[in-house]
Parts: sequence; structure tokens; C-alpha cells
Amino acid sequence: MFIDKNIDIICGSNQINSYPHDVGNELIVEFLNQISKTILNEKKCKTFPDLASFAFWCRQSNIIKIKNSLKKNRFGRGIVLHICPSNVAMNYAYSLAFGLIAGNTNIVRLPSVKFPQVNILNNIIKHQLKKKKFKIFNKRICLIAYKKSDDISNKLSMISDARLIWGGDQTINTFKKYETKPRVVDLYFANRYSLCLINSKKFNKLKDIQIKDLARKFFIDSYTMSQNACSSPKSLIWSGSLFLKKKELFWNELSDVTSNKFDFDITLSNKKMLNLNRIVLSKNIKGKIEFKKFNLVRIKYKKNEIPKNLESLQPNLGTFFEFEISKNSILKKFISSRTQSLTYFGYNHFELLDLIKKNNLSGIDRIVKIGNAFEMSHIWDGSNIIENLSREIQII
Amino acid sequence: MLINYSKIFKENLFDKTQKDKEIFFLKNFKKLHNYHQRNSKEYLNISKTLFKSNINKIENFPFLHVQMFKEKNLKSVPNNVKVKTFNSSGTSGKNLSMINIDMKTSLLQSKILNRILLSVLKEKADKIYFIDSETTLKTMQNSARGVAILGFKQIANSCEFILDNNYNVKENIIEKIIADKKKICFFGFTSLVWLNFLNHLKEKKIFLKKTDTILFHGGGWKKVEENKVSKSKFNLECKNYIGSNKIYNYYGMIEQTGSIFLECEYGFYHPSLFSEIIIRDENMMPCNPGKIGIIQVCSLLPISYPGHSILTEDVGEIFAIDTCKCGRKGKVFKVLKRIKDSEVRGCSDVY
Repeated sequence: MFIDKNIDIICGSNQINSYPHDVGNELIVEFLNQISKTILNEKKCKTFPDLASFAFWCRQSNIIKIKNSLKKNRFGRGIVLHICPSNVAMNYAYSLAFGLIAGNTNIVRLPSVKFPQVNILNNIIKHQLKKKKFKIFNKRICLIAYKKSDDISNKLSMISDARLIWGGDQTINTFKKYETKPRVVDLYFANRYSLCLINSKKFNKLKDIQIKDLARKFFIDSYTMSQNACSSPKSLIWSGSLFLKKKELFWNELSDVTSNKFDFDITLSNKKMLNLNRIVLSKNIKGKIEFKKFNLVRIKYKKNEIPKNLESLQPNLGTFFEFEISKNSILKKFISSRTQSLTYFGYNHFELLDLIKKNNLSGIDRIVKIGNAFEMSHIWDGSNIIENLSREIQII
Repeated sequence: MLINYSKIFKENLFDKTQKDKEIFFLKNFKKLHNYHQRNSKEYLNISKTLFKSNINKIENFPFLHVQMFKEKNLKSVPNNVKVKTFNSSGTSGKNLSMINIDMKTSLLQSKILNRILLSVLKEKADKIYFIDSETTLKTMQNSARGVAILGFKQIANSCEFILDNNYNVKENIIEKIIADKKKICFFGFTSLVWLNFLNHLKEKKIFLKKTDTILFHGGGWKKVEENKVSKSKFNLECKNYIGSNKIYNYYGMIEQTGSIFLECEYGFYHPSLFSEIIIRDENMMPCNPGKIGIIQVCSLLPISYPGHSILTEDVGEIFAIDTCKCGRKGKVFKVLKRIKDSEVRGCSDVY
């Protein structure tokens, strides 16, 4: 239990206590499944694809699948504090679900940005918490909001057995300073950088309609959340020799989709110009910046030319570094421990896994097909969140 | 070969039609552009990577985003030139702009500001009353307000501050103004004029009855609008309590001191011979009159730093060209608002 007049309790209650239980407990699965069903029956949810994706993810069959993939004899740790990002609406929902599945009591700080889908989901959760059979969850769920406060963050850190800090770097450093229990388990999700790799040889063989489809998928990966998410590809790398005509078809289609589906106005345009100014003046950019419409900007590099410290440059709002490399081994020059997702086309994932092994790469934690960059998973940034939030009971 | 300023000084400020103005401006602006390309590697970099190289229109020239003056130390003169740091906002302490001004640029700025102000004042005033405190000059000399006061000082033979150190109206100053029968004018930041001066006059029911006296004001409407005061109300109250309807607002920024855009008698801003305005849409393409977009400001004055072509964070609209009722030729525009602050972040929240 905690009381602080500066903390708003949005959902659940502050009458929580540490009450660890087994991982993937049946009641949890049922609770999440009820939430899933309610969302999918809600008409409004269709307007929020991220809400629908969450509902699909937390349905019974998927949670059981996840449960079965985990190590056995696992139990919760106690109280988990979740500090969620401001810009990803549904991140808090997954974070809460991970904490619940792992058998914990959860204090979740909601994103400061007001998203309608957060409101919808919170009302659904509230409704479930009123049901008699789910009454126990009132002691395990507490969704809160508070303005920046060292005092509150410190207090919450002190009562937590685990903390999930969703970033970025600055927030992580802030939370590292707070007092915690000696045995606290912290999971930090630092600022990351993602890339897209296309096998040119395979790409050349695609029919026009397939290329257009790929461009549409690439649009979802890169323009969702204005290309600001960790998993949004910032660079597009073509590996092998490429047919110019096919390549331009890809970009033209991307441009068309962007014009139709991405709401680009003078405010975003101004921010984008500022960001481009920063990119150009932060490094001696050798790439050539090209755009027909400003909603899609390409920074093109000559073949096998790769700038240093690529991940320090943060293009957004539809700005892409574009590279051509002659062979895949050159890819290692793009990779650092900051590299998170590699979205790809034209490989089987074993080839890519092999690439990481052979080159002893310190980065790339996710290998996903183009179009799936935003797919959330309990394995994130290289760690199994549910396993980290629980303890394994050794029986000898 | 840099611009021959002394030749331009002989010309009238608002006489050229847009067509003639563009020929004149293009020729001179190109010289300035070439100069900055040679002397500022940052400007050169931006030009080469972000803009096309064939320039045959004013709207084709490269521009820097106004924020870059806060993030980079941009200069087009050797390192031994004296550096001045300016506070770009009249009020808050944050947002320091690094504007490197040498003697030459500084002189140009004063000279042009003087010319622009005299275009409405006609002849030098005997006294300018600053709706501000003298402490501003001491503690905020390098702020937008300090710079503005120093600039406006030259349009009168003497000056006096209306506000005391606590920004309250000084004792006896009102009597002094009323008794002053010589040619006077006023200058103050819009917020100070309203909050610290007009409110005082209203409270005490004082009518200055200074018909024919000019009030210059600038620095933005934000604080005044926060008090739910519209521009028309501001002007009406000024007329009521000061007694004159000659109220001139101006649009200008610390990054382009001197070549301000003075508002005319009909409520529109006009570029002078030394400046130009371009409104850009979301694709960074120039907008035709009637379309709202981002304001880009051009000035012939910045030599020691590459501030001659700047993309602002203001939203504006061109209303007409060459046809303002006030008689001034060229573009006729309004500043509508600031771009709303929607700083896009990564996967993080503010702590």
C-alpha cells in the first residue's frame, strides 16, 4: 500500500500488496482472455489497430502458448514497478500483462500523453475488476499517473521487487539513482536503433504488385509513431546488385502510400526540417538528400559507403538513410550494441542468425519480416521479460 | 564582391513592385549567399546536402532552421571576431541564441532599423519614452529587449524609462509625459505595454491625450493573449488612453536584428527593401497568397553570421502583393501563430 496525494490512481487501487503466485496462473489467463474478448467486441476498438493487436495477443490460446514456452516451477517476485514510454499507447498494457503472467503485483505508470485507446482499455479493466472472481486483482493492479517527481519515483522504487524501465536513456539514468531493495531486479530498455535489410537478388525477381505490397509493409514499420520508436527502421540497406527501376518502384509506392495515409502538416514539416538540419550539421554527411515530397526523404549513400556512428543520427518523420552493399558481411559495419531490430526481405532467418554468429555482432536482438516491426513480444531487447520478472524454484 | 550597401541606402524602402524587388533582391541576396557559402562551412553543408544548386529565384536559396542558432555557434567571420550571445526571447532565461555580430553587421542593423522607423516617424523625435525599466539595459543588455531598446534609442535625441526597477510606472513620470510638448514617441514590448503601462493608466483613469504620437511595440503577443486580450482591443485601449491611433507593431527576431517587418496602418506587415518573406507549405514549397504556411525570413544585413535566410517557427499568410491600401509595394503578410510545440520523442517519457 502507498499513499501520496500527488499520485492519481487511474485504475485498480493503492491497496496492493506483494502476493506472488505461479507463472501463467489459470485465473490470470482467464482475466486476460476476458479483456481480449471485451476489446474485440467493442466497436470503437477497430479504429485503434494497436488496441486490436493487444486484444489478439492476450487471448487465451496465445497466453497458454507463451506459458508453455517458459521454464517450469516459476513464481512471481512481488511488486513490479512499470515506467512506460509517453509515446507508445499500448506499451503499458503489454507491460502490465507481462507482470501479471509472471505472478506479480503491478504498479504501472501510464504514458503522460493522453491516448483515447488507453482510456478505453482502462475502462475495460475497471469493469473486469468489479467481477467477483477477479476481485483478487484489485490487490495486484494499480495504474497510476503523476507529474515528474523524484520523491514519488523514489518511494515507488523502494517498495518494488522489480522495475521495468521502458526508457529512454535519460529516464534509465534517473531511475538508477533511486534507492531500491538490494535484491531488486531491473530491466532497462535503452534507446535503440533499427535497420531494414533487403536481398536485392530476390527483390529483383518480385512482380510489381509484390514490390508495392512490400512498400506498404515498410510504410507500417516506419511511419507508425512517426518513425520515432526503437523498432522503426532508420536505414534501408540493399544487399547485392539491384535493378534501378524496381528500386524506384518501391520508393514511388512508399511515397504514394505516405501521401495517402500519413498526416503530414506544417508542424511536422517544421520539426522534420529541424531534424534534418541537426543531422547535416552534426556530422559531415556525405549522403545526398533527396525528396519529391517532404513526407519522404532519402539520404542516399554511394555503394559500400557507410558513415561512422550511424546510430547517433536519428532521422524521423519519414527520413531514411539508404545504402547499397555488395555483400552481407559489410552489414557488420552498421551494427552496434544499440542495434535492436533487423527487418528483412529475401532471407531465411537462419542465414541472418548465421550472420550474427559469424561476425560476432553485439547488436540485433530481433529479426522480423518487413511489416512486423511493431509486433510486441515478451522477449524484448534480448531478454525474456516474464522469466526475468519471476524466480525459478529449484527442487533437488 | 559583397553588396554595395551605400548604393541601396539611397533607394526608398517600400517603393519597388514585387517584380522589381525580386530582381533587386535576387542579385544582392546571391552575393550574400555566395559569401556565406565561402565563409560558413555549416551553411555550405546545409546548402549542398539539402538544397538544389541552381538558384534563379529567391525561394530557391537555402535556409537554416532558426533553432540552429541556439544549437550551433554559426559564424561567417574569422574566430578572432568578438562574439555576442543573445537571449532570443524577451522574457525567459532559456533559449540562448549564439549570434556572432561584428562591427560592420552591427552598424548595418542600426542604420536600417533607423531608416525603417523613420519611414513612419518622418523625423527624429526629441524624446523616446521606453515602456521598460533601465535595469533591462543593465541586466539584459544582450536580450532581445535590450537590443531593441538600444536600436530604438537612435530615433530620438533623448530617452527616458517609464518603469522603475520593479517594472511599476515611475512616480511623476505621467505628469512629465503630459507636460512634454515636444515631439515624442513610445516604445515597449507588447506585454509590458499592456500589463505594466496600459493597465496602470486604466486603473488610474489617466488619459495622456498624445494625439499624433507614435507607439512602437513588438516581441510577440503570447503574454497579452494569455490575458485574453485581442489585438483590436489592444489597439483600441492604446488609442483610448494614449490618445493616438498611430500604433505600429513589428515582427522581427534577434537572428535578424534591424531588418524588422513593420506593420502598416491597415494591420499588415511589409518587408522593406532589405528583407523578404516566403511562406512555405508542408513540402517546403512556396505558398501562393491566401495559403497559410511556415514563415521564412530573408535579410540582406547578416554578414558576420549566416542568418540571412532562416526558417522560423511562425505561421503566416501572404494576403496580397503590391496592393496594400497603405501604398507600400511588395508582399503584404500577417503572422498568425507559433508552430505548436509537439516535440516528437523516442521511446521515452519526461522525468
